[in-house]
Amino acid sequence: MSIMEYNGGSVLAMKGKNCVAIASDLRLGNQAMTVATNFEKVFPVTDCLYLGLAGLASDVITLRERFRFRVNMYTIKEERQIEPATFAQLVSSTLYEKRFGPYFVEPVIAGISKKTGEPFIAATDLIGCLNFAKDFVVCGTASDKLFGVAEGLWEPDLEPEDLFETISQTLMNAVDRDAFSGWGAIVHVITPEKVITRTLKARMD
Amino acid sequence: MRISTIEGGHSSDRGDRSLSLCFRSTRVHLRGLHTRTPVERCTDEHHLHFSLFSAYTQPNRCLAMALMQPLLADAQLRPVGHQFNPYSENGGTILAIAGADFAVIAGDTRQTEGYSIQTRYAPKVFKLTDRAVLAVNGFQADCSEFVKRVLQRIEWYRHAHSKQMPLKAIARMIQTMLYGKRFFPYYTYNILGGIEEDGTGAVYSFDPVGSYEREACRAAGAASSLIQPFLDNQIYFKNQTPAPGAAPFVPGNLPIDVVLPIVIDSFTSATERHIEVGDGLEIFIVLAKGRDASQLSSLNATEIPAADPTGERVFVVRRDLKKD
Amino acid sequence: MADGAGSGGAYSFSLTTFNPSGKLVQIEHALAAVSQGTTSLGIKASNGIVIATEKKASSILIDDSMIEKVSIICPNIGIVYSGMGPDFRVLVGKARKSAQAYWKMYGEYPPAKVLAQEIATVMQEATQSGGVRPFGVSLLVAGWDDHRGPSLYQIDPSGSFWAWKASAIGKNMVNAKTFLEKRYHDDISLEDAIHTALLTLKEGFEGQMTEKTLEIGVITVPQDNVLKMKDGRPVPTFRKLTQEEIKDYL
Repeated sequence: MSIMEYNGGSVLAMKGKNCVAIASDLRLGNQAMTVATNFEKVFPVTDCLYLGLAGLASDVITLRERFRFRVNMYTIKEERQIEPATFAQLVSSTLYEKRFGPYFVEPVIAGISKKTGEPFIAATDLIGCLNFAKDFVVCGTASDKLFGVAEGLWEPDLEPEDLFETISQTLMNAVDRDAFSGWGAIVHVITPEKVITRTLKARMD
Repeated sequence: MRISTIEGGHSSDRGDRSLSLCFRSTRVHLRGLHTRTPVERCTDEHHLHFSLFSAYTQPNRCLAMALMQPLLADAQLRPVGHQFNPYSENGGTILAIAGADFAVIAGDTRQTEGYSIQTRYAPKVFKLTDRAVLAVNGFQADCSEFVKRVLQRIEWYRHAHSKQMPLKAIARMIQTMLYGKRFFPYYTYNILGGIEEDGTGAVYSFDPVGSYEREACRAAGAASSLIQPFLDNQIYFKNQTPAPGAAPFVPGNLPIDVVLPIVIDSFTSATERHIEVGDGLEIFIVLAKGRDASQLSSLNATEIPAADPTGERVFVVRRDLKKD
Repeated sequence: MADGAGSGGAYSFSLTTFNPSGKLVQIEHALAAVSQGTTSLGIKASNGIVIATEKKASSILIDDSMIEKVSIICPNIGIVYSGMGPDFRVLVGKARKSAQAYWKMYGEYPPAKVLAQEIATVMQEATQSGGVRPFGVSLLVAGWDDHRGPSLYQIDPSGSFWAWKASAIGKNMVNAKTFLEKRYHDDISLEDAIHTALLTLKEGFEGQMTEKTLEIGVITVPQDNVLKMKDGRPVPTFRKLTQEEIKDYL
């Protein structure tokens, strides 16, 4: 059994028109046993940048704290908020530091650039190989399902509300076919003005 | 599987011969001894091999060899074992969707082994009767063999009963045929689509040993994990709620002009994200008796001649998928 | 010896110990070393920055093409010094390494302030560590980044650093600063700033001011104040003027 499937869970991010969305399921498992149904895997980095971490839960928490530390240091030292593209590089280099004893997580980054207003999404593998996608990025135990549904549902230039529907439907239908993911879901839609966070009413089995 | 778990082994000539066949006879230098040794192996594979095909064991010898293991650590001394694996996996993906009075059965045409493409056109979907179409996916050799036998049994049925075999009878027959090889299964995932005797569209899906079910839709094969959740959403309306006041969703009731784009989108999506899917797409459409076929004209569908021109009709649409 | 190591008086038994009046005399001495060095200056203009220095070889037999007093740290930052050449070389090495480390971490080069801070930290450590002496240089750091735009920093041996609109360091620092105070205005263009820099250096220049006895580096602010990329690399905003270019300004 792969350590990446030990706790289960999936994360997904999508680009829209002047907006991005990032979503995760809420399951925390111990192999086949579900332990908690309120385990969020998406964390705010700045007010318009979010980080999703799917994989081994202890590493998810460790990395969340590590990135919190690094971003706080950056913000204080540089007297500015970190840009999504810069943060993606930070994630990549932080993971590659542990190239031969990696953190067992796959991060997903979604945000809007304060400087240009450009929506930004990216994902990396567990050793920090960056993937800058122009449509959507997925990770976690339901990644193959997420790819299939997202490829069928996503279209370019979605408005925030349509993007919310697309990412929600993609996530829910994918995790419903994955035994290790599901048990609720949470979605953040990031626009230049605000972040809309919704908890979805999903299947709990 | 360890040899020590198998009780009551004894020596025989046959056993010795088969052993020496398996091992390289090597000139060995061991702590000053010069021995011409047929080196015996103590790996798990080896014992699996013997317990499967010769049911022969040699506990004493194995113990001796276990003691010798540190001496045999030298790579040159390690014997090479071979085991025949009668199965392979040839990629590709299939799906079927039932409508009220039609059924759509589709499959891509790429055939792969590992990372190689063996052919870009290997049909996976076959017309069985005027009202039944079978899609098979998995190990290509088993697929061909299985379809051949199904067609043969269907022909025998026609000779014996002077009528075409009904869809649900074909489904049950496939179950029997698959389960008949329960202990050396056909490595095939089958999806049967067509028109029932009551004129409704139907899809039956099977696992390799015959467990089967009638459904509104099903995807199988290499990209089934990509396509099935998409179909759950689009065909079964999973996670969707009708607008307030609107009629409830009924799965298996979608019009054909909605179903066909879903089929095509499923395959283009799977082609995009799965390396074993692509090249070509064959969509078979079975229309119930008397149903209007005009909606198919825009798709460049060709009709496959029917035995009974007044009954159900089968059409096929062939399209390209990305070849990269 | 009753007063500890050496013979520099009661409070020089350690280089990093305050004397009773609250001074670290070694830093004072380092500043003295700086003020013996050739004059360097920097001027921030509306559309860029110029840093310039006098390049003086101690003998006509020295191949002065080898001497480098204005150094590129990364595509958006350059520095110049007054004081001890070898100390500068060490700092340039550390600064370049720091800029590359930043690039490895964030995929972009550091803002001028971050780099200035890094160098200042290195210089400060030399005032508080055992077995070392302070760096005998003052630096002018010119850089551009899309966060703060063009910025000019001065770093002293103590490790303190400030941002300047225009500043001078080295032998003729006091006069040069007075001269710059008279000449400087906020909307000066880069071209004018280069000429002002040369005029300032001319005061108290030893020997002839030629393209061979001058080094000039400029920051050019990119169009729309946005970092341009070419072939996946940032287009440099800092560059050194060639001898031909310097000649044209003389």
